[in-house]
Amino acid sequence: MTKPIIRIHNVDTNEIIDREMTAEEFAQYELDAAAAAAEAADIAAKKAAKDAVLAKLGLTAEELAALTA
Amino acid sequence: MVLKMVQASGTTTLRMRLNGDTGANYNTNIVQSSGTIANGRSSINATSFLVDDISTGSTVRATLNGAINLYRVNDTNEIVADWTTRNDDGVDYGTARAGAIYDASAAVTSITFLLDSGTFSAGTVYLYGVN
Repeated sequence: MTKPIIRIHNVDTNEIIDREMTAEEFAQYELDAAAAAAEAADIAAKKAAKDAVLAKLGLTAEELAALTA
Repeated sequence: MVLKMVQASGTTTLRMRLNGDTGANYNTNIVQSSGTIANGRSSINATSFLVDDISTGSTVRATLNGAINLYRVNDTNEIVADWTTRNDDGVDYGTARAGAIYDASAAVTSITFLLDSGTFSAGTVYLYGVN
């Protein structure tokens, strides 16, 4: 499996290099992706909890927005 | 820096890292609009700055555009940043205004843009003010 490509632009020399990530860069890339997925899951869980409360109150998201505008 | 017409291969989040530092040294607070709704967003003690959402799009207005300022980049302690961006999050169009601080331990010598998923498909980042 090929690793993602990164672009390195040296602004001192204006040299641009496109190359595959090194093993170390790829390991960090995977850590970043895992952290992003965890953050997205947390946001989704909070939204679900908010939607559940709205449902209990019988409100739509639009009605809540109208109340808090 | 000016971000012009930047697009990704899908809807995701654009982040920025300095000096390749992956420590929990980045703090971002954003006030943003999405359509007619305004809200806030924070990313504290993170391993990169949270810049904004980004998506793919076939029209000019569906790209991410904006300006990012980094101040006193030769400092070896806290470095202040702010930015204003306009984007398409895949659902609605919005704008974001961010204040941010990087807990630096060395002067900034490199800037890396990251996506949570996918790849960059278009766009240019212009860098100004560098000797």
